[in-house]
Amino acid sequence: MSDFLEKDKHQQQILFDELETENSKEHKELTTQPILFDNQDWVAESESDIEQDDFELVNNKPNWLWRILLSLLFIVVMVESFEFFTIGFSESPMVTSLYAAILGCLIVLGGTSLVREFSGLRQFKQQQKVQSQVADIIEQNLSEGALDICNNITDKLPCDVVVEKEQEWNDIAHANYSDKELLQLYSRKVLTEVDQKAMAEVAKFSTESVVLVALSPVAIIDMFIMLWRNLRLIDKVAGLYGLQLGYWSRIRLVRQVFVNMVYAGASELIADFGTELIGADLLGKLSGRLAQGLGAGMLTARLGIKTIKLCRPIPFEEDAPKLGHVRKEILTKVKQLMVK
Amino acid sequence: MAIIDKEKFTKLKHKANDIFNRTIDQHVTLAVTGLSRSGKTAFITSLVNQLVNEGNDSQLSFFNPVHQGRFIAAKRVPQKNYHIGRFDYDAAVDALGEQPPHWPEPTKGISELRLAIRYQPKESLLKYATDTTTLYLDITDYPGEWLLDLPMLNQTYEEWSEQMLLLLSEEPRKTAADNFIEKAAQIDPFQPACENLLAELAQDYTQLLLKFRHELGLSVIQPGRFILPGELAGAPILQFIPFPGFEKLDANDYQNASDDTFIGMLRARFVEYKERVVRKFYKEHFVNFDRQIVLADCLTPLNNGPASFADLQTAIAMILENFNYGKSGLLSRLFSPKIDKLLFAATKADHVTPEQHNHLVSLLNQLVYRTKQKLNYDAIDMKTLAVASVKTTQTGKSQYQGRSVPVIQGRSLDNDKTITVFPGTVPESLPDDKFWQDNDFSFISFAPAKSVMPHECIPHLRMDQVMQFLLGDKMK
Repeated sequence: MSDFLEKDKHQQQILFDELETENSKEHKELTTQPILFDNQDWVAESESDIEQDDFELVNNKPNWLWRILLSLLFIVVMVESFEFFTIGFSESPMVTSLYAAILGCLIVLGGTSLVREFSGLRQFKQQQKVQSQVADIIEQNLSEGALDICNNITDKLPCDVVVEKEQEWNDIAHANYSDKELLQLYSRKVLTEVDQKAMAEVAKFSTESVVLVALSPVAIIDMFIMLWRNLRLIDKVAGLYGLQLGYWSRIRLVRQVFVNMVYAGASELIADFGTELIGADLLGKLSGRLAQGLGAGMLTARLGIKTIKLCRPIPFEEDAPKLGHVRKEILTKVKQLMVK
Repeated sequence: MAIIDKEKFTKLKHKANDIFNRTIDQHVTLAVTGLSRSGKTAFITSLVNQLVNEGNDSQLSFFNPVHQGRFIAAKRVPQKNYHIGRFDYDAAVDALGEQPPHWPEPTKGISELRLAIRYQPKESLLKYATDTTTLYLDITDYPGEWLLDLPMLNQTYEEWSEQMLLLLSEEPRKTAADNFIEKAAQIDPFQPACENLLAELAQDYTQLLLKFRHELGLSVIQPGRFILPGELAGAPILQFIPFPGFEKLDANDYQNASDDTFIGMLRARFVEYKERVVRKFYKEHFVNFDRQIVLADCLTPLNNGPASFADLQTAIAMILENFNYGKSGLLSRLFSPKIDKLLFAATKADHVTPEQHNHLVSLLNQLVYRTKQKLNYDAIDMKTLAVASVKTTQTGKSQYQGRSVPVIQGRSLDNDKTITVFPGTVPESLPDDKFWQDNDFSFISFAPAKSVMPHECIPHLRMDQVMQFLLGDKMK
């Protein structure tokens, strides 16, 4: 390893020397004969940097081998089916027409689900694009048509959530605000409403997990319950923020949520869990199962909150939802249930 | 006679209450700082109006307590110092409510106001103690002219004279001041003083200051009481001038000059002015601030030219040197409060089209950059905003040479007619001299457009963000 490093260093040194000599040569020429550039030819340092970035992105294009393989496969299937039907219709038309009907149904079914998947994925990507756009505007105070972004978001939100708030939003004299302020205002006026609904949803699902896990006698049932409830929760929350998930987009979102949870810092974990775990411990003295249920419920809540953060088109500026906000509600509900 | 004087007891109770509120961090003294005509009175009126009328269609989305529904109500309560006038909020609101509305009268004296704001704490420790808490907000209004006296506190008569003479010997002041300097220079400093001559010179100097202020639009006007004497009008304490020709005087002779010589009397009056007028003003009103907002009107100096702009820059730097800045903790809050949040507000943001607000902000940033650099060291929170305490214009679009141009519509202050206008671009930074030779800015002043009833909220621009920055963290 050290050898390699030294070599590397050495090489760099040589390279550097070469560069220097080149430079000095040029320098000599330049001193004898000054060259005037056209002012417009000048490229600022930062601009050239950006171009480099773009270049790297272009290199990251998906693998073309896959494309060739897929298109070849498609051609073979087409040729085969064409042959099958031409021969089949001449030999036994009844059976072949049955096959044709089946194929037709398959194509329609597959096509629709494909379209749904693609639109889901596209929506998901678009949402991410909007998020990064919004983050850019808020961080760098750019002006890039925030009003259009907001209106787009409104169009996607489930309509019953925001009718009233939308009116309020439309009543604002938008021209008076900068793009950053518009986004913040939209987040405050309209999205907070959605946040509340989403949080209520999270609380509901978490409570259900608490109770169901506490009631279920076998561990494997616990696991299934958790999986089922959590997937439903992710779906619902995403839907509230205007994301219609397909299979693949859901998997992507779930993956992102889990990656996010895994990489959450220890401090966040402690902040989120510290008091809750103590609460669970206390409850544990009362009932071991309930404590298990509470732990599961907290996990569900955490997942839901992470999903909210990932799905919200405009990131929380302050006052981001925390586990503490749901915990109280869960505990009171569970207590109510226990009393009953 | 009762054992405990009732009046004394109430006073003591008030004081104890104050100390208690400061201990639990529920008392904010807000310094509304701004030169004359920068809109202090309008700002205070609007602030009080927005808080008191919250709920009546108010637009305070950026103010978290309101946004989160934790704001309960606010009202005016008796202030701390009974010997100081109460801020005439009602008169100011009435002025804005008349048909047609007009701006409140400029402030001629000091007045105070205390607001009690009731809210529900959500994050602070207080939420474990009570459901509702009250935050007390103290605001002082004073003539902006007096503010510029504060830098005199750290100067001797000699230093002050030299500084003033330096200003007078440079354009744009020089042309107007030449006569006065010549006249003042003819005096023999060690002759016994002649009261009448001194009064006459002081009168000349006052005329000069008035001219600087109103005709040239300059900001550094010292001493401020000369142009707005208040109750001191005609008193000998206001009859002194900066003495030209200190460089010709022998330092020993100057030190030994008795108070009845000319120079001695000037010095004595300066010292008296400094101690009696300026220090008193400072001690009573300028020591105990927690939060500060600096209001600056950048548009008028732009209209008046680069000299006026530079003068405003100097004036703001001079003023801000007299405040205590720094992080504030429990002890410092009780014994020597410090300003830990400072907001620079470019006022009259409604006088330009909205897309110019960013430029207005960067222009103000340029104006205060020296102060900002200095205060960065103290690690205090600073922010710059383009605001309009009272929004006087409507924004819209219009066609000009086939292009759509943003415009504003409002009632012009000069001729009382409703005009629709693109007022001009605000430069992002102060233009260079070449620009000034062929170009002039002429931003139009507007009068309040619609009359606002006392129970209605005054239309504003970004007052909610101002409140959030200045008070938001105290109302968590």
